[in-house]
Amino acid sequence: MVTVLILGGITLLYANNGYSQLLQQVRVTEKFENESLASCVRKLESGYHLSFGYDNQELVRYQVKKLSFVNERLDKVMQTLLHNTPLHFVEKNGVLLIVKGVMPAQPLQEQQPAPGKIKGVVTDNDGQPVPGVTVKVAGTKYYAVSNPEGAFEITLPAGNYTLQLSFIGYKPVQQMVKIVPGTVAQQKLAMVIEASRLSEAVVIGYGVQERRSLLGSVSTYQASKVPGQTPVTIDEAMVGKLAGVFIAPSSGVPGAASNITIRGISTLNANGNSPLIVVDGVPIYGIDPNLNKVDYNQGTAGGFSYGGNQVVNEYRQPTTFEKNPLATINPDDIESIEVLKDAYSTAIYGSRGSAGVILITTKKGSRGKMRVDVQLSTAFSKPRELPKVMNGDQYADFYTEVFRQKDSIGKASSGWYIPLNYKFPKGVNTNWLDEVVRTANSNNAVVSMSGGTEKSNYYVSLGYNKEQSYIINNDFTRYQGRVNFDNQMSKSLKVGVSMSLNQATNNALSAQQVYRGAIQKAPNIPVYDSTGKYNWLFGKNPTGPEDVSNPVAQALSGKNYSTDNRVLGNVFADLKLLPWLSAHTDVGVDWINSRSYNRIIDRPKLIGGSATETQQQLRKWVINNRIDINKVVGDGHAISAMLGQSFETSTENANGVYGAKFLTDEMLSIVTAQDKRVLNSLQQQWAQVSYLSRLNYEYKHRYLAGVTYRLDGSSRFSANHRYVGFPSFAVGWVPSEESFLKGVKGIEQLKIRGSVGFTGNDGGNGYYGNQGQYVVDVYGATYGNLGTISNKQPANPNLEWERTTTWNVGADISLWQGRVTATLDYYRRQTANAILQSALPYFMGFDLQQQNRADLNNKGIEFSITSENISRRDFHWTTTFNISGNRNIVTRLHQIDEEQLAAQNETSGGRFWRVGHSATAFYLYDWAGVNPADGQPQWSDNSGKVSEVPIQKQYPNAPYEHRKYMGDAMPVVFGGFGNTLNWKNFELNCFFSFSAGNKMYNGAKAAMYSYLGSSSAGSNVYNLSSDLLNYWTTPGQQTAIPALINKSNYAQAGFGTSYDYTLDRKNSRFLEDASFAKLRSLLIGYNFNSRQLKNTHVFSALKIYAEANNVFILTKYSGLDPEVSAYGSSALNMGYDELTMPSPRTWRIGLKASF
Amino acid sequence: MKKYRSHISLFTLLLALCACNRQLDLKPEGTMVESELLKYEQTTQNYLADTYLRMMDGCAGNNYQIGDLTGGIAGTNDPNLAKGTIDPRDENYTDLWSKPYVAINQANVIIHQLPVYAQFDKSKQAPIIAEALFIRAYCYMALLRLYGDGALQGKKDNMGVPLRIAPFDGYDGSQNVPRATNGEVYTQILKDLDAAIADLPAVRPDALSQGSRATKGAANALAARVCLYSQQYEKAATYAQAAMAGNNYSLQPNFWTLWPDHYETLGSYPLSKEILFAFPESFNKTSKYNDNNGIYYAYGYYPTLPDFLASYGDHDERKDSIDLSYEPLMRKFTDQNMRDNVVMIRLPEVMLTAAEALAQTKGVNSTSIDLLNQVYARAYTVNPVPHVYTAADFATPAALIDRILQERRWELAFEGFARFDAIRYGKAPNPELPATRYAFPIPQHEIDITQGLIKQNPGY
Repeated sequence: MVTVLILGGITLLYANNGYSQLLQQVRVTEKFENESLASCVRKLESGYHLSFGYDNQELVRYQVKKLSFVNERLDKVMQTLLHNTPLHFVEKNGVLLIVKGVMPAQPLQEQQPAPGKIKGVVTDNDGQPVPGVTVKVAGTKYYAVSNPEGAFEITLPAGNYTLQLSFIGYKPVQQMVKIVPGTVAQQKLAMVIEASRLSEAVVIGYGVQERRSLLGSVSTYQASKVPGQTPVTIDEAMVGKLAGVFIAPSSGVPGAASNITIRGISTLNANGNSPLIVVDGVPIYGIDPNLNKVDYNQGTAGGFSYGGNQVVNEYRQPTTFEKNPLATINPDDIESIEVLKDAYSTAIYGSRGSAGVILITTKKGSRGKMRVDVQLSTAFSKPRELPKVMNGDQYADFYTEVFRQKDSIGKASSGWYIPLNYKFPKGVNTNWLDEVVRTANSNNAVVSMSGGTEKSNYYVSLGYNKEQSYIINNDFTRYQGRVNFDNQMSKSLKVGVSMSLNQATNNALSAQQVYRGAIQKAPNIPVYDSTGKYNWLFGKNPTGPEDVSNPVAQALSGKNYSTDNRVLGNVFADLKLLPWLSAHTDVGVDWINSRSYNRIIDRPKLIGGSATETQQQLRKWVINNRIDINKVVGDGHAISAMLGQSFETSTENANGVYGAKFLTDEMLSIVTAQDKRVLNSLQQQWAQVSYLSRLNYEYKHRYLAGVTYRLDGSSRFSANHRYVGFPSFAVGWVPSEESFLKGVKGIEQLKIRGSVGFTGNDGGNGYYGNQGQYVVDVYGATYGNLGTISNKQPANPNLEWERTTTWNVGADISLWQGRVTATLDYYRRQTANAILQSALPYFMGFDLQQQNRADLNNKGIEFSITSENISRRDFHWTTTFNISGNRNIVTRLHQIDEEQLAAQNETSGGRFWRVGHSATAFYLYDWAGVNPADGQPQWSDNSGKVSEVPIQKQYPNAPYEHRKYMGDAMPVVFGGFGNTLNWKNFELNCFFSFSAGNKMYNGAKAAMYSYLGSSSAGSNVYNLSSDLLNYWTTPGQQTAIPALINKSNYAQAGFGTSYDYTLDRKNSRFLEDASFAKLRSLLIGYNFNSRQLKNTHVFSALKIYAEANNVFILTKYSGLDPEVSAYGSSALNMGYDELTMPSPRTWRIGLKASF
Repeated sequence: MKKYRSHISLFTLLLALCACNRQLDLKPEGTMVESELLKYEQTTQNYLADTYLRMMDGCAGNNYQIGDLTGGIAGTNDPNLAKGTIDPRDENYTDLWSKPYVAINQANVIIHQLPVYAQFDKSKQAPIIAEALFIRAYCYMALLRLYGDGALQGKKDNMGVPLRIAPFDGYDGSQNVPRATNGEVYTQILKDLDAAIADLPAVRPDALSQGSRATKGAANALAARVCLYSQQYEKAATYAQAAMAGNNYSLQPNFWTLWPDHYETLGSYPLSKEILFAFPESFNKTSKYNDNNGIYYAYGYYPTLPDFLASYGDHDERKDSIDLSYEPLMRKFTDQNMRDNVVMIRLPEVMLTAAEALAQTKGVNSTSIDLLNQVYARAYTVNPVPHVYTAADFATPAALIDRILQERRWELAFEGFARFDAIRYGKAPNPELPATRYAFPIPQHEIDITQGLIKQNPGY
């Protein structure tokens, strides 16, 4: 019986003390008759699930006549069995070793002259001796087995040899040794425990558990086991690798946030679908746009234009950048990532568990010689493709024609019309994209030192990344350091620290803006004017956009960066009170200090330039205390329990100032600005008190059951609803331990499990959510000369917590000693009372308030398999594959006026939600193509009637009813497929990720098709897609581009407002299938073997590799990359490509060396 | 075991340290909750200022203009408005209904919660509450005259508007109320105004606050208007005379001093002694440079109707004020930013209200005729006034009343009265508007969300 140990919150499985009880507590009822000792041991092995270590040849020598035991203690049984033999037994790491008392070295065959001798001690990574290890001298017949003190000795002829150590449960070790005649070579050899997949520790919430006993649904990602990809942020490498975890990198800007959604949309809150991220037990400041967004342009209110064609510009490139919270965590420090998915795993995180939990565990040192690992790599990246836009001449001709048509319509309709007679000059062809796009170079260097002594272990790392964006002068730089250290103070007390210090400077905040600007800037304007200054306006064109831009100037001049300093880690103490009882305390922090600075230099319409500076300080303290109990009771009953308590508090400060009119462009400090004001000065806090408990029970590894309960109290909720409990339950059955499957060869483990539990979501109602709030107007609104304090939000004493109920059934199977492992899960998640902005009667004085209004359902299936297809001496082939599918349905929404509120929600930047459809559905007006007869856009209403009049004009009172469900931004299935081949020293790895059945709104196209946009100060004569050159001109012409001025954009074209119905994001014209398969990484590596390294005397391991990322995409999507997301981490707003910068194709070469 | 004792006690101590519930009672730094807001006089004043702003939002924009746009003064390009064919689902008109309620709710907060939370002198609380009562009364008046079914035609028992006099404290459906009757709403308005009159100051120290914040005079004038609307003519006369009593208000010498032309030069209409209540030129709402006070008469958005212009006497100076000869613009509200003081209650209205009410109760009488003459004469400061009225000019009280109403149309054009004055006497505000559509439709939203508890006006 191997007990489950839950210790320390870190991946250390303690052995010594815990397992001595094994000998006393396992009771044996068995008969042995006329068989070899080896056979007896095998019986014990299989019957009582024990692990033995022994030399089979030795044991077959001894016969057992007749012995029978009834409910006898294992140690007695062993003593009896080994009586009268020179053997005795010792227990080590749960393995019972049967060894000879003293083992003098002995050649297997005849004795040869033996002028030299080697003596050694084998220890484990805790410095404890390991007996029973077979020490072989490679290529010879010499061997020895270590004695209970771990010592061995071998007498050998002179020469150079390689010692090979192997032992069950440990990684094999090779060590070179030189035998000099007449001397004794002393060797200290350390072995490292190699957990089998079943016995490996899986990090779970507030503890660890053996994989074989896992009841919840947990996906593990270990970078060390998956070669390929050296990303800036770890989430990039995880894409497609974990079943049920949907990760979409939002854009190709380094350090930009990703959208991570675990098992679908569980709430309709903007921030409620981001998983909780926990690093070494500290719940960090994770994906939260409120905290991670840098708003770098608060001073210039760009949004206002009246009249004008706002619809065409419905997507406005925000002057914000959402930082990826994982960008300040060094991916190379990460040992493993566990993603908790079902309720049994996540309910222990209670009110923050409903969107899933990502547990990140960093590397620890292990006992033994200091090991130095160095990684160096350099990479070159370029966009795979760039949008195809018009050149200067095409642009000039096109717009000259557009305005000619406008004029002719104007003249025909009114005698008062004064023709514009615009002529756009030709002859200049500036390729703005070429001007700002470059081949980016990135460099990465990481050094880590790790090791351990008898009492302490350490891991120290230093890293440097410089990642260029493919937009000129935009890059991301990171410095990082980490110390993980622990020390056994006394026999029972161990203390340690796990701490990282990071600094990341992201100078690529405006890369997206520059990129968009380069696509849209008129190509018939040179970068510089005749005086050598930047051409900010529209040059010689008769009209141009109101906004002042020059992408090259934006990229090269001014400043726009954000520097984050982060201290993240904890100190901990483990106390072993009794062999079965231990206590753990940790105090953790996550401190982020960032400064963002943006400067726009002096330019037209912004004399003296402007600057915004924001300082943000986030300070979090976490204290966790818990008691762990691991006890085996009676015959095969094992209990592991945890009782804990946690307190977490966060203080967040933000100060922002804005300045304009600087004397010179060199003066950076906002103090030197002539106009300045305070944008923000704020402190907000929250705190959470939690009590947690877990009880796992298992009987003979066959039947498993568990229950967890967490009670959360949060300052975000009113005193009436402050504490909420989150229970969960799980059961498991392991048929492979039952007699009918036990003998079946090949099946290592088959486990069936089921769980149900409740989780919550506290992100929805923000800080101080339920209280009526009043704020001083930051812009200084006045009534007469009295300043005002206005209502920020109405009181909401009725607001309750959202509750998500998750049902999960799953099966894990492990075949042929773990060569094939597979996991299948099915789940249903029901969110009740999801918080949603919903309507109030207007006579209440407020029209919208967050209410517990919506219900959602998710159900899905996940499957993953890893198979070692071929495992030969020189050739290994491993395949991994996973696929998941999730269906989301909104089952209840607003109380009234569903469609009208859906339209309102859409207007305020959300989706058009309908009951019965997914929360990420596209619900649009149906575009019916261009009528080849007259070039008019056509629309289909909900009865299927096709008309040339836009639906909104046909049905002005209730246009929404004529919208149709057109697909979902969330894929039907997604996953990944990877292969690793090792042939001799070569390694080849390729990894594909895929997704199918998802739709993407190609807003990039809509933007590049927009030629009628205007505002009060000018026409947005942006550059356009070269597709537009094929616009309809002659009857019968088959084209996707309608006549330039048509019934869907003509309305008042050119005369005040014009509304281009074909370009708004509410119709299906640009909705496309975005299913794809992407070769994310392709890696070829060469591992130098020990023989090759022997001569260098420096390296203990060396690998060189070349890698390519985002090599190709198979997709029907006509945009550049079906994986972008214009709205950053927002899961609810996924599926929009708004000229969003795609991830580049990257070529990397690098080396990894160990000393 | 002994050796662990210290460890255990340390561990227990840590547990105890962390389990403070008090640590969960956190308060925001940049924002206030109600109890803090109303604790101090200053913050209460600031909140009151915001309540005035909300009132401006609700009463100075469309709500103000509709009286003229549908009353034969100015044309509108919105046929729904002129013909009364507004669809109850049309969201373009919900602001007319919802915005006054925003101000009403804020006033309710002050009226009810200030006595609960205030920690300053009671004598300073009363005037603040009085101002909130004035705001609430004004907003209910604005709502009732638009939405009340027959509210201007003396139909006391017909449906008025939902009467909310308690502050918002969450919504779970139990707060839904049916529409109160017109009579009940009128009673509440007058009750509020009586209470306000008692505590409001007669004069304020400076012109800005005198013009832009409630005073005894303003509250009396509003009460007079409300009584006129509810056909309580005796009370109307009393309130109007109370408003005029004292030496606080007087007519400006001529229209050019009242509405100085500042189309070219940015400035403000003076908050002169003729003004009983106005919204001051304010830095409204939140941030943007282009916020206006909601008056879109300028720029010729809404052309003055030729028939109405023609009705003026030849040398009536008021005609100039709405038809500048050199620009197709109106001099009332020419500010280029559309941000200026917005006059809500002006002395001539009070005078004509008194005149009309007295004519209703006393028939043809000299006080009424005198008031009429004063208003009429002020429009002729360059040329002589065409006629000075005497009792002999009016054969019946109805003739006098008709003349007073005509004067109201001329004097108060573009100040939001025409529609309601017509309806009061059962006349169509404009020829296109059928009698069944005198009341606006209640937004369908209200009916749906209260599951029919709120009833639609008949005819929709």
